[in-house]
Formats: sequence, structure tokens, C-alpha cells
Amino acid sequence: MNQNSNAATLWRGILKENPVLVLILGTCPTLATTKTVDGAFGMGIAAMVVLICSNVFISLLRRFIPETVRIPCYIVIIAGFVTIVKLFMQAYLPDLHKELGVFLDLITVNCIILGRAEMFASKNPVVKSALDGVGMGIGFTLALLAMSLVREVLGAGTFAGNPVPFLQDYHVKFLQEAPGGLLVYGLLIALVYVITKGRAPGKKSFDCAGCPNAATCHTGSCQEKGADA
Amino acid sequence: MKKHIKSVISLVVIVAAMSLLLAVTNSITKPIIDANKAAAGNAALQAALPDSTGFEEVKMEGHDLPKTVQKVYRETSGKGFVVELQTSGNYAAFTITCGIADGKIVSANYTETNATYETAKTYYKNFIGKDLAGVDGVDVIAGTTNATTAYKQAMKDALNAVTILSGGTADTRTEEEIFADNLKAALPEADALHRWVALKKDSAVTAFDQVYRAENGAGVVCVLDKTFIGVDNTGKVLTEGVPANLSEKAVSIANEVIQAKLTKVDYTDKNKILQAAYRAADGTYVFYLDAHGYGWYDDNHGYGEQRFEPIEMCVSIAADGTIVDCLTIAHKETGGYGAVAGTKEYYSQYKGKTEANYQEVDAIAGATYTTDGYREAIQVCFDTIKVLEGGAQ
Amino acid sequence: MSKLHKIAVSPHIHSGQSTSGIMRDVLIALLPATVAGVVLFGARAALVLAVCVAACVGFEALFNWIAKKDQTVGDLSAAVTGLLLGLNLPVNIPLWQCVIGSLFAIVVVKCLFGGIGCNLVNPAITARVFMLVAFDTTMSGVANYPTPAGVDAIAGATPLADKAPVRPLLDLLFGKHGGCIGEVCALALLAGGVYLVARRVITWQVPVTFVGTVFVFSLLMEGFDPVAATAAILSGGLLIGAIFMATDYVTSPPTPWGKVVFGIGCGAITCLIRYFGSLPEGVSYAILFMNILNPYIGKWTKHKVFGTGGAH
Repeated sequence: MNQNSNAATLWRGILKENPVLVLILGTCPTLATTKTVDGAFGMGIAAMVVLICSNVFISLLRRFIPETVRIPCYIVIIAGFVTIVKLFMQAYLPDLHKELGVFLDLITVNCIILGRAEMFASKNPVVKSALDGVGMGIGFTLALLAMSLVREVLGAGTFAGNPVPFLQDYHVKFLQEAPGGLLVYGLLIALVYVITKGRAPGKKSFDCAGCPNAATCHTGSCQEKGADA
Repeated sequence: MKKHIKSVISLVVIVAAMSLLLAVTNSITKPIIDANKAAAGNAALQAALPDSTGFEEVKMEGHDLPKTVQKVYRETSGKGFVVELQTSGNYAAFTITCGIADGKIVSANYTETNATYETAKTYYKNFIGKDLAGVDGVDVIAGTTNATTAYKQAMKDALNAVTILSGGTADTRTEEEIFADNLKAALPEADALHRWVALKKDSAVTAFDQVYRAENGAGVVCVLDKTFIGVDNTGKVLTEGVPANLSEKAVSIANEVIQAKLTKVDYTDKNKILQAAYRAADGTYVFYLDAHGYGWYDDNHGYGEQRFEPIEMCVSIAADGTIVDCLTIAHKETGGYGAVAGTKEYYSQYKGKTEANYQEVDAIAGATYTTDGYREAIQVCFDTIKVLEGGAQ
Repeated sequence: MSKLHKIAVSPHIHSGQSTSGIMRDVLIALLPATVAGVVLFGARAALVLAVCVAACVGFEALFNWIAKKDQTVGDLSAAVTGLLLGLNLPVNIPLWQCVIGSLFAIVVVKCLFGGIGCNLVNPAITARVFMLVAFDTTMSGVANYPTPAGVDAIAGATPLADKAPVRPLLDLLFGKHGGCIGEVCALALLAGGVYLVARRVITWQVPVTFVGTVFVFSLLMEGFDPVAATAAILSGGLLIGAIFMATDYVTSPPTPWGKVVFGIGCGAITCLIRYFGSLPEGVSYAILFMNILNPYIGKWTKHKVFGTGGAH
């Protein structure tokens, strides 16, 4: 698959460059909202909507926003969309809004969204950016769903609030707590590593300007390593 | 300079664009959100008084409402009222929303509680459909006495509050206040009334639920069910309309007290178990004690941590060393085990026992500390007699 | 060369044979406590212990097979972890919870970090903490410490949770009170500890400083009453923790002064939790915490390398 085709852009975010399990971005809402399946799903979809909207908007404005003020602009745009999503959720899905609580607001500072804005949307045309948003959003949602499945079913014996018959007496509460969440997270990262055979994301999609570590890394050594297949 | 201007312009434009989008969104969603909030607020009230159209809050100032009432809402089409109350038993706190229509309770559910016993949590079902008299007739549940008593009182308070706000008058006294008022009415000359025990083996005290003696010697009050009989210190029955057999027994008790010529004994117990002691002319002693209930540990035992309230007891011991009567006046034990100490079946077993054999009374199953505390108190009685009679320490 | 150097067992030198010899000694040292536990609590105690040992050994074998590594169950360390974990559980714990705890101890704490010698924290104590969090109702709570069979009815709680008048010391020594299977009979644990020191499997520093610190702290907190302080050190999981789990080679410092610091730290944290925290028992958390600090203690108390001058 051509690395730069639209299809590749879409599929990348789901497994090979899964934002939560490979790029290790957005861990805070991951750990916080995966106690229940519906919370995880809600958060995933909300973040995806914000991601798509902000990617599209930023991509549309990419030639217009000057380099020096790009971060404040991105944040204003992202915060605006988060508020819009929040208002719609408060009106039409009040229970989910109550369950997600403050983490809905924290989508604004979710590294995935700002990171993709920096690394992709500001350099790519609109359609590609939108597809990137969709792919990353699906990847995020799937990762959250996977974690919440383990944490809720094995940790509390329920599925989306409904008790699972056998597990009501045999669940391990530890998984619902923070240490259990981190444990499940680590095991999932290991699982994805095994599945993708440890191949790092294609280096062609990065350059130093887009890398979040640019300020501290002075070697640019990752540029010299070969790209993946 | 140009660069800076460009930066500022682009920022301003973007902020303006986002603000526009937000304004549009807000106009769409605000009405829905507000409607949701209003509906949620009313949901609790709707549940309490079904089929109602709307509620308005009633001002409580200027009315002497019971202390448990927090808020009162009047249903706008005249169906009735919803009263919000806050009450608590020993450890259980309840927030109750009570719907009242036509002087009867329509719903009486709690919205929040930290009660642990399931029986306390389902107790509210007993009150549905009852009016004030009906509520009086509901029994409290032994084992969660304090919680259920508080709930029952809250129900009465709700009904009384509605009566008062509708312009009527209501008796807002609690059950304890009513009891105390009845005692006072029976024997007006009395100052403080203490529970009393039998002084002689076949005393008539057993015929009554409770007997009280006035501290200042003004007489006695005998209580049986809802009848309060006051007898003064000349043996005259002060209450009217009392059946002959009951008044005879009451008079005999009063005479018992008069003939005993009780004197208060000045004695301080270093373990703080014995609270007061009285001596009759014939050598019978009456002791009031606070027995150590479950898990009571005072400074003498090191951790200084008190768990439950003491068990108040009264014991009378004749001159020959036999326990004439023993009763548990009050306790705050819950949960069945310790509460056994408060039952007549338990404490009446001590009648006729002496120092040598009072231990034969069976321990309370599963309540080791309570039994130990009770026995300790009885032993203190015997020890005190030895000290007072023999002068030994 | 081995005549000139006294090579103490360090975290980096393990051969399969010496490990199993050491582990065998630990198993022997745990035998009195095991027997005492079964005698006091009955057949179910034996069942719990058997399930824990079997599960630990089984999971280690399974993990090694799946990860295509050499089988290490022969070094008996899994069996020791299983026995120690079992001795730290109350006798009426559901068996499936024992299995989950063993899974956590062996797979998560030991195998995932690299197997024996590479674990950051002691597997048995960490699994105990995991079970305290995961299965809190069955692991703790007054109702779950049944009285040992054959002893007259005792009204309820364990000695520490009770805050009761101090129990007679003989009761504590012989285990006539509620608690976990292995921790009640102080005498059996002490016997095991003496055996291990005599066989040079453990050194005296950690257990003595650990217990000593708790004793001194308790003395101060109980108003200088030596009986109450002795009762404090004979109660709870202190002896089994100090003798068998705080002395784990992998997770405690190698140098004598390091061990002293480790022991004092464990003792201090245990007492802080017991007296100022809301938990009745602090030994597990104290040992876990000191395990995590272990690398730093090792660094601070490093011996000066012979031949190098100056500070480092």
C-alpha cells in the first residue's frame, strides 16, 4: 500500500500507529475513562469528532496561520470544538456527559489532537487530514474499548453496567483501580508490539519540525534509521 | 512588524470564527439543557406525588415546624404537599422525601441514607396510606430501634407540618416528649423521676411496664401501656379513672417506697460504673449503674477509646445478699446481640440470685463483652455493699 | 581463588543448583509454621497452601513454556513463593482468589520482569498487597479471621484490629488468636528464623533491626510498657514478614549497613501505618515500599572498592 495514499492514511491510525498503544499519546483519558465500556466508547467517539473537526479546520487554514502563533491558534480551534461537542452532549446525551465529567473538557489538552494537528494536519490537504482524523479516532476508540472490556468485565463483573452472570462473584476489583489500569495498559501495549512485530511507524511521516521531542533531542538520529516496509 | 501584524490578525480571525460557531451551537443547545435541568429537579418531587402538574416551594418562616423538616413544596393543582426531611437514628442518617395528600402519606421513601440494616431501609413501606393515627400504630423494629424510631417520628413531623401550614394546629411533640409530659402530669410535685425496681420479693412492680420514683420523695408513677398512675407520698392516687386493681397495686408500690425510708448513699466508684446508690431502712440497697457495653474501654484499659454507649441498669439487693430485682433501663446496643441485655427475659433472670450464683445466668450468645460488662456491674453492687457495710476498701 | 575470597551470595550470581539448595532450606524453615497453621486452622489451611504452591509452580512452568524459555521450576523458588503467599492468607479465602494471587505473584511480579533475580519487589508480599486491594472483603475485616479450632470462643477481632486489652503473651506465642494461616504461631516462625540464620541462608541484620525498630516504636507509643511492646511484635504479619520476606536476596540490599537501613526503614513505616494510619497492619506495605527504595539504599551504602582512593 502506498504510504501516502488516502487508504494508508486511514488504516495507519488503527493499528500500526495507534495513538494510545503505539505512539503512547493520550494516556490520561485512557486510564480515567476505561472503567466502564460505555464511558470508554463515549470518550472515544467524542475525541474522534473533535479530532476530525479540528484536523479539517486546521488543514483548511494551514496556509493562513503563521508559524509563530500556530500553537495558540490550534488550541483555540481545538478548545472551540471541544466546547461544541460538550454542549451537544449535555443537551442530547446528559447521562454520558455526567459520566465523562471533567475528562470531556480535558480532550482539549489530549496530546493526540494537538499532536496530529502539529504533525499532520498542518502539512497535508484537507481530505487526507480528515481521513487521518478518522483513522486515529477509530484507533483511539478501539484501544479504549479493548482496555475497558478487560477492566470492566474482569474488574467489576459487569458489561456497560449490566451484570455478567458468572463473573458477578468472581471478579478482581484490582483491575478497576489505577494500578490495575496501568497493568492492563502495559499488557495491551506489549500485545500490539507482538502483533505488529515491533516495526516502528514509518519515518517518512515524521520530520524534526513535527516531532514533539524536537526541543530536547539534538541528534535527529531517528531520521537516519531506515523506514519500515 | 509586518510579521507581527499578520500573527495578530490571524489569531483574531480564528478566535472570531470559533466564537461564531460556539454562539450558534449555544443557541441550539441551551433550551434543551435548561429543560433537562428543570426536569431533573422536579423528578424527585414527581416521584413522591405522582400525576402532579408542578410544584412551588412554601415559605417555612413564621410557622413552628418540627426540626426535621427541611423544605415543603405545595403541588400547584392542589393535590397535596411534598415534604423533605432530614433525620437520623443512632448511626443511620436519612434524607426523606414524603408525599402527602388528604392528610395521608402517599409516599415516604428516603433519597439518601447511610443505614446499614436492610430492615431500616425497607421500613418506609409501612407508612404508605397512613394518617397520623396510623403512623402511631406502626411498630419500631427491634435491632434497629433508633433508626426506625427516628423514621416514624419523621413521618409524624411531615403530617404535622402539612397540618400547620394548612392553618391547623398539630401536636409536634416527639414520642419521648409526650411520655415525659404524661409522667409530669401524673405527679406534678415530682422533680426528677427515676426508673424504680422492686424492693421486696413479691412487689407489685412486676405488674407494670415501668415504675418511676420521684427524687424528692413526692411519690411514684406507675405506667402500664398508655395508663399513667400517679401516687403521692401519702398513698393517695392522684390520677382519676384508674381501674381498682391497678390503683391498688400502685398504692402498694408507693407504700413500699414510703416504708423503705430511702436515703441516698454518698459513694464514688473509681471505675465510674456505679452512678448512684440508695439504702432502705431494712438494709436493702438500690444501685444505678452504667455497665460496660460492647467494646467500652476507658482510660484504665489503655486505649481510651469508647465504642458504644453504656448500658444503664438498676439493681436492688436485699439485706441478705439476694438480688430482689434487676432491670436494664436503657442501652444503645444495636444488632441483636447486645440488645438482648435490654430484654425482660434476660435481666429478670437475675432475680433471686446471690453473689455466689449470679454467674449462672447464661451468657448472651455471641455477645461476650456485653455479658462481661453486665456481670461486672452486678459484681460492683455486691462489692459496694461490702464496702459500705464493712468499711473495707 | 575461592580460598582467598569469601563470596557472599549477591543478586547477580545465581546458579540453578545453589538456588534450589537455598530454597530447600527456606522450605524447611517454613515447615514449623506450616504445621502450626494446619494444626490450628484445620484441613482447609492445608488445602489453601497446596493450591497456592501448585498454582505458583504451575504458572511458572506455563509461562516458561509459552515464552520458550528454560524451565526454572526446579529451583524451587516458585514453591517458596507459593508457600509464603499461602501462609499470608486467611484460612477461609476462596480458592479461586488464591489462584489469581499466585498468577499475579509469579507472572506479573517475577516472570514479566525477567524471572528470578530480576524482580523489582518481593513476589509474595506484592501479591499479598494485590489481594488486599483486589479482594478486600475476604482478605481483611474482622469477620474473616476465624478462631483457631479447639480454642474457646474468642469474641472476634485479630489482636491488632481489636485495640483490645493486651492479649496474654503466651496466646500470641502459640497462636491462640485469629489471623492468617502462617502468622499466628510466633514460636514456629522464630524457630524457622533461627534455622535460617544458623544455616547462613539469611543474615541477622534485617530481621533483628526490623523487629527491633517496631519494638522501640511500640514501646514509645504504649507508654513504655514492655509487655504491650512485646505483644506488638508478636502480633500481625511482622515475624513472617521480617524473617522470610524482607530478607529476600533480590529485593534487599547486599551490604550489612544497607540491610540495617532497610530493616529500620521497614520497621518505621510499619509502625507509622499501624499507629497513625487507618489500617491495622502495615508490614506488607512497608516491605513493598522499602523494596522499591532498595536500589538507592544499595547505592548509598556501597562499600568502597578496595584500591581506589577518594570519594565517589
